[in-house]
Formats: sequence, C-alpha cells, structure tokens
Amino acid sequence: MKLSDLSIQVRQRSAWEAIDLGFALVRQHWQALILPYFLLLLLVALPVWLLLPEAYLPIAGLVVWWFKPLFDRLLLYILSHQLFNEQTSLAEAFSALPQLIRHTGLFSGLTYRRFSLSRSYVLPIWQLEGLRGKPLRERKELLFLQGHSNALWLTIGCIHLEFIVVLSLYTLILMFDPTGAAWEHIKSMFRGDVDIDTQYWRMLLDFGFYLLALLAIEPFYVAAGFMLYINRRTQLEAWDIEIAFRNLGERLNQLTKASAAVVPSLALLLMLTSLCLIVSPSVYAQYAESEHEFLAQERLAPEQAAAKIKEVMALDELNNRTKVKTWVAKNSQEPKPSKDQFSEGVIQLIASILKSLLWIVVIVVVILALVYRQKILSYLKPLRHQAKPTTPPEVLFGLDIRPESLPEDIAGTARRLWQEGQTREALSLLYRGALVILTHEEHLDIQAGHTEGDILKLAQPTTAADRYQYLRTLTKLWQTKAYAHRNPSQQDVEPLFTGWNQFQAPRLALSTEAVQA
Amino acid sequence: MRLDTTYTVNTPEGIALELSPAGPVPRTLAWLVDLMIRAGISLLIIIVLAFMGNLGLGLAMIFIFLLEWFYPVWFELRYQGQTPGKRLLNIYVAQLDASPISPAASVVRNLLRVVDFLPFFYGFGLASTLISKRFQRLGDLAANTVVLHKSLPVLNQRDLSASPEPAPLILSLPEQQALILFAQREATLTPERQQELALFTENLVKNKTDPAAYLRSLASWLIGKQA
Repeated sequence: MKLSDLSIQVRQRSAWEAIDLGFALVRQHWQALILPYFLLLLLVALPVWLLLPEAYLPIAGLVVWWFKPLFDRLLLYILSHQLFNEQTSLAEAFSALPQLIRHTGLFSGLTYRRFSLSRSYVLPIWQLEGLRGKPLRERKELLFLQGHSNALWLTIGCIHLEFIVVLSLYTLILMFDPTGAAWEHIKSMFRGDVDIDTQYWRMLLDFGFYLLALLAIEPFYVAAGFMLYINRRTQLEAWDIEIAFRNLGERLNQLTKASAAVVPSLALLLMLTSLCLIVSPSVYAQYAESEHEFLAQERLAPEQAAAKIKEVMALDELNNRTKVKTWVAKNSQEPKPSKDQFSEGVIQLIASILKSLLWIVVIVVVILALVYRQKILSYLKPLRHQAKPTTPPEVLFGLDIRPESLPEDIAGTARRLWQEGQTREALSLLYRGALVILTHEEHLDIQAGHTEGDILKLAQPTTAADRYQYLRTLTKLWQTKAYAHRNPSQQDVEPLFTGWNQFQAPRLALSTEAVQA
Repeated sequence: MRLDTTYTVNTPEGIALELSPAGPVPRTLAWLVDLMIRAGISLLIIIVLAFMGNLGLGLAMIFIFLLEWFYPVWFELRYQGQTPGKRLLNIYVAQLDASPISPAASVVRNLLRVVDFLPFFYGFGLASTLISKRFQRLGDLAANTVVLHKSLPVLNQRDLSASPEPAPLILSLPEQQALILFAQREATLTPERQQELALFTENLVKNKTDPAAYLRSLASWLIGKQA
C-alpha cells in the first residue's frame, strides 16, 4: 500500500465529511461499479424470483435484502482498487468473488452479524485487513472509539434513502397514469380484495423497484462506510503527515544529490545549511505555484478587485446598522444666555461669600478638633463593658440575708446561741453572715433561684482557698442541720467560730462604707 | 487532481477559500430532526386550539401552514443559515460563494421544496444531490445556494511544549503545516508511529538521536515560540 497512490485527498476530516467523500467516490467511479454490481444482483435476484414458490414471492425482496453483505463485499473490492487508481475489469471482479465469499467472514455477516448497524464501517477490517478473533475485536474497539455513532446514523440514513427511492418510483407511476388504474389498485390493496390476475405482476413490480433502490443506494452506503474507515485510519496513523513527510524527504534527497556533485566532502548538516542559501529561491518559487498555497491562482486586476471589494463591503451583513429609540426634547434650542446681568452678579457674590464662610467653618472645626483632641480620642476608645450592678436577693431559701438583719458580732452571737443549745439558729446565723459577705462585698451574682451547691460553685473561682474551705465546711454543716436535722459535734463547729473573723475580714470594710453612706 | 468534496472560492483579495458541501446523509438527518420539531409544534398547536372548536382548527391549519413553509426561512435568515437540525449536524446554508444567504435565496430554495419533494419525500431532491457536484438539490440550484459543513475547529489545539530549534533550511508552507500538525497530534499517535513518521523526512533527521522530538522542536520554532 503506497499512500502517495491514493486517489483521494488525504486530510483531516470530520466523520460527516468522510461520509460525503464516500458519496463523491461513487459518483467518480460509478461506471466501474455499476456493471459488476448489477450482474451480481441479477445473479442473486433471478434465482430467488424463479425458485421461490408463488406463495412466498412477496418476501423475495427480503431474501435479496438478506444477501446485501455479499454485494457489499464485491463493491468494497472494486472501490478499494479504485481508491488506488487500479482499474478492475468485470472478469477480475468476478474471479475475486470466490475468494471474497470464503475469506471475508461472509458466513457470520449473513447470519448473526446481519443486523449490525455499523456493517459498512467494519467491513474493511474483515475484508481488507483480514483480521479474525481477538485482533479483530481489538481493532474494532479502537475504530469504534470515534465514528461509530456516525456509522450507525449512516445506516439509518441509507435505509431512509432506499425507502425514498422505492416510494418515489411508486408515486411516479401514480402521477403518470392517466387512467387512475394504479390508484384503484392501491386502494384495493388496502381493502384486501386482491386481484388474482394482476397479483403476480404487482409483486414483480415491488421486487423490481426494490432492486432498483438497492442498485442506487448500496454503493453509496458501502463507499461512505469505507471512507469513514479510511478517515479513522488517517486519524490514527496520520496518513496526511506521512505523505507530507515523504515528499519532504524526497525533496531533501534531491537537494543533497545535486549538491553532492559540487561539494562532496562537506558534512551533511553544513551542506544543508549552505544549500538553502543556494537553492532555496528556486525551491520557494516552485512552491509558490503549488496548489497548496492559500492564494488564488488567478486574480482580478487591482481596480476590478477594489470595485468588487467595495460592492461586497456595502452588503447589509457587513454594515452593522442598528435602530435605537430614545426620547428627544421637542424644543431642542440652546438655553438662551440670561439677560439679567445684575441678578447674575448678586448670585455670584452670595455664592463666593458662602464659599469663604464654609472654608472658615472648616478651619474652626479643625482647630477645635485639635484643642479637644483628648476628649475626642477618648470617645474612640472601646467602651469597657460595665456590668449592671445587680441587686442581691434579700431572701435565699428562706433565709433573711439583708445586712441589717444581722447582729454586729456574728461569731460571738452564734457561739452564745450554740452554748444555749440553739444549734439551728447558731449555724443559720453563721451561714447567713457568709452569704451576706458573698453577695454584698464580693458582688457574687447570686440569684434567688440558686441552691447552696450553686453558690459554692459560684464562689469557688473568686475566693481564696482557705476561705473557700471555710465556706464549704459551713455549708455542709448547715445542710446537715437544716435538712437532715442532725446536730454537728462540738469539734466540728469550733473551727467555724474561731475562723469567722478571718472569713469575715472584708465585711468590716463594707460596714464602715455603709456607715459613711 | 485528487478526489475531494471541497471546492474553492476566490475572494477579490485573491484569498482562496476552501468550502466543504454537505452530502445527502447529514442533510437527510438534519431534515429528520427538523421534521420532528415541526411535528411536535404542530401537535401542540392543534391540542391547544382544539378547545376553540372549528375556529381553532382553522387557526391551527393556518399556523401549521406558516410553520411548514417559513420555519426554514426564518431560521436560515436569523441564525446564520442554520435550522435546529442543521445546527445539530454542524452544517449551514450559504450562497455559493459562502456569503450569508440572502432573504430572496432563502425563500426560493424553501418554496422549491415542493419540487424537490416530488414524487414522494424528496425523490427528485435525492437524485439531484447525488448527481450534482456540490450536493445541491433543485431548490439550491435555483437559489444559487449550497449547504456547507462548518469548518472543523482546529484539532488538538495544544500548546507545543518542545523547546524551539530553528530549521536548517527553508520549508514550504505545506511542509511547515505538516510539521506543526505532527507536533499537535503527539497525544493521538503512538511513540513508535511518531518515530516512524519522523524517519520519512530522511535527511532532515539524519544523525538525530530522537527524530520525533527534533521535529517537534522545529514545529515550536515554526509557530514562533521563544526559547
């Protein structure tokens, strides 16, 4: 296979363009295709028509349809030779037929692969590459990565085209039949009352029309699938680049040959570089005339071109005219200059006075700001959050904890009460005293709903360790007495009386403050 | 002259434009898509207007008539020659010289559908597209229009990563294009195939340890990359 012998232009195409190229290929080579294909079609169709029992004649078209893969192989055989500009005679085509029947997977093509919708796309793998088994599967997968959907749509499109041909032929008869017999015949078909005399001929007509549709469309279908395949291989193997590189290599070879006679001893690279100085003008001239240049061969004379360009540029498409709607004042005259010179002058004067006044105000404000900067800056400082002084509750779990309700000497009174046997009152007095200190002196946020335990928890972070220990003991003893009605022992209570002064030390300050207030 | 589907139009400036006409298969598929859309809209119109009785049906008939005849005209003039089906298939209608389709041409080519449609479902149209050189149906021939493929976006628009190296000789335009394409398609070719391709240039890659890499750096130089 020599790519330079290809009769088609190898370039990058979209899949649809490749399909179109297949159609163009058939248009180009239809003479080579039509006779072998027509004979083969007859070779299949005639026996089918003659051998089928009369009852089965309506399916004669279907039988011929079933043999399409066989026709495809012959068509592809001829097309693949035409692709390389090799003419195949009728005899050659038919002598290739046995080989095509045996070695191109025709059996599977006529049986379980008959309904494949990408038939024409994969046929070249079977027939031209001759792959079987696993390599075939892998090849198919690689090809199907692109172009598969196009192959499917190609098949669907070609089915439509065949129907168009068949139905058009029928309608043509309808149009050119002045007696209306054909129309009556069609109506009778739908009514079901089949005319026995004409039935045979009608079926022959069906068959003939279908063969004509096959004859007209199938070559295009095979060629389009073939070109899809060629396009995919061009993508995969960069055929277009191969052709261009081969041409380049050939040109360089000629250059070196020409130069070898002149300067045989130079190194190749040097030769090449020097060569481009010597030979390049002619090379360039040669390529300037090449068909690949994107400049047209014949051009208009400058003045003609200018006129044509002017004409084209005047087209609507190139002149973006847009319609814009806006409101425009009815009296669009210039505003007249004011006649009243005096009032104008007064307004100017007032304006300048106001302006200077404003400047004065600005300066005064700046000076004031400088003078009172301390005060202003202090406003800018973040405000410290001042806790709202909470009024401590007056009664906690039934205990009166107003400072006024307590005697001056709490420890002494308590000890006296204890010795008198009034245990409950003694402990109560001590505990109330402690609560008063906590609420009024240490500003503990004690609410009416708090329990003894809550108060202990609240006091813990802010109270010194020994004072907290005292408070804990006191609370515990008080709870034992108040709720469990158990009397604490003498040695338990004694530390409370003796430690009180130490605990209440801050309270003295509080009371003096209260006196002052 | 190798076979291709394209034809060339010269602009007055002397630039040759290559145009690629679209063949029967993409056009049939595009037409089928448009048919589905029109059928859907027609059905909707009938359903909505059927509530108005005979008057509604009469109105529906008028709407469907307008839809049938002016759907392609409207889209072709409004959307750069593309009906929804054509947009899906990436094809468009244009004048023969690829200039935008004129209103008169659009009306002519769509009114002549009635001829192409004969004898049944575009029988003549199909014959005409198969025979005429630029896949034109009769309406296209009359209106001097053609259905074209939208040109491909530049394939594999990748930045060339190789460090540039100046070419040792003057390369013609097709050769330069081949080199750049070679570098751009690095990702889609196997390394073995790349080396094989590079060796086809023979003397250009003589004494190079990695011919493919050398050609890629030439391509970088050709597209004007700075070292």
